[in-house]
Amino acid sequence: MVQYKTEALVLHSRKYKEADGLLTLLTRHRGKVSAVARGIYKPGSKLRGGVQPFSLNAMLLNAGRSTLHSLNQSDCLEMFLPLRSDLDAMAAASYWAELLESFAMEEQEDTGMFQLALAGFYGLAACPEPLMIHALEIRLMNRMGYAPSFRVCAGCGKPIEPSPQYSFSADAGGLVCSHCRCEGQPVIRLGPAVISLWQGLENISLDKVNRIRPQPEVLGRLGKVSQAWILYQLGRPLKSWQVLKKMEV
Amino acid sequence: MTGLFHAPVMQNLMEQFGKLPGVGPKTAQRLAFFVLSLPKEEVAAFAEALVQAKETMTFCPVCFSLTDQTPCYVCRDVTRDRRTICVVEETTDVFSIERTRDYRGLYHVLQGSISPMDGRQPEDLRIRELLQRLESGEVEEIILATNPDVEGETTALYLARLLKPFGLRITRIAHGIPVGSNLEHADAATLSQALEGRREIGKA
Repeated sequence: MVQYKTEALVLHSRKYKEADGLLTLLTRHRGKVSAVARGIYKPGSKLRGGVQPFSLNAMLLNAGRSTLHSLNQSDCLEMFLPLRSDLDAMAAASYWAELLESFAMEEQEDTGMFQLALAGFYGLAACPEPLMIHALEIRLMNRMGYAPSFRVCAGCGKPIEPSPQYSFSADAGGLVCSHCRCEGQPVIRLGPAVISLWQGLENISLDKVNRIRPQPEVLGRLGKVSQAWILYQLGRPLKSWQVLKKMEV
Repeated sequence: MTGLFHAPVMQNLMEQFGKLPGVGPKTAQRLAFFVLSLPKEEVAAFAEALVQAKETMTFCPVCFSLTDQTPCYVCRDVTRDRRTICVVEETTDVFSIERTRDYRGLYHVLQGSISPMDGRQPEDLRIRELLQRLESGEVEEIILATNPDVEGETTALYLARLLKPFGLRITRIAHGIPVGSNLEHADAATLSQALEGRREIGKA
């Protein structure tokens, strides 16, 4: 049994057995970790405040032989209260947490991923807008090595010629030229403004994302491209995205 | 392993007890032997109570809490304040609030909470039925008493947004330090919300 201290973001918490919680954590030093938090559903549990989803905590954990770690102590460092007082922010945080849970590697240290996750929760607490969500999606995809090809054709590798309309194919891996586009292949048509916005979001500091004011149709098209891309990479739709779409009042 | 040592009847009884939450094989064995030690009439009454509860209990067609009568006792009680509906996640929450003896309004049990990450969406809850109850125009206040966790807060925020056009008074139960505990062990979020929800005391 190895005991270790780490900072951890709680991505997901669900009930386990009678009064225990099963947590999915993104830790600074051990990547994604599953941990059991005993007795957190009992009245008066001291751990409960430090296991809330979308919170940053200083944790003391026990790692045994199994992949399920055990939580000993947890002290909340940042609760991200703005994420809990607004429906859009809460929805965006749920989506970001599920994205991280889906893509983060089990028990592999990735400080960059942890920093991105943390920056994402700070970013959403300040600006829970679709543009911020897309900026985070794009950064996460790039970090995982899943950046789509926008400069050269994903089919033949030749440079993409300037055009008022491009074809994006998630199956192919990015933009496809007219020669490589197969009959019946599902593609998303997009203009240069969508590609510029995507590339702009790759590099802009997250605290400046809200300065960008894209046209609604450009933003909508970017959302379609990023969703198709994530769906292709993950091989399944994200539950939270579907629920969030239904929660739009 | 116990099957090697017990008669099939006992094994079956232990398996049935083992289905209960929080009951492991050892507890199941202890309970099974305890049942055997009871007089036959008591065992029959116990079994009868189980079957009767399962056969009789149903959901109230108005508030969707568990009841043996339709509508339930609260919905039928003419002395209750029909201008206020307290929205809770589960029937057990109704019992908890009733224990306070401070609330005299009606209830609406959602039978769950919205959980985006688990795929539980608004249409899985009794939200449509809540909206139907508001059509009478009798209701003036909705108290959102969902749990103060992420799912409960999401549900409360969603309902607050959904109910806004009705022009009702929509309130959320307060969050804070439990009675009898101390500040030292309270987490930052609870303390922050307790400070935010502070109220003046000693005012005549």
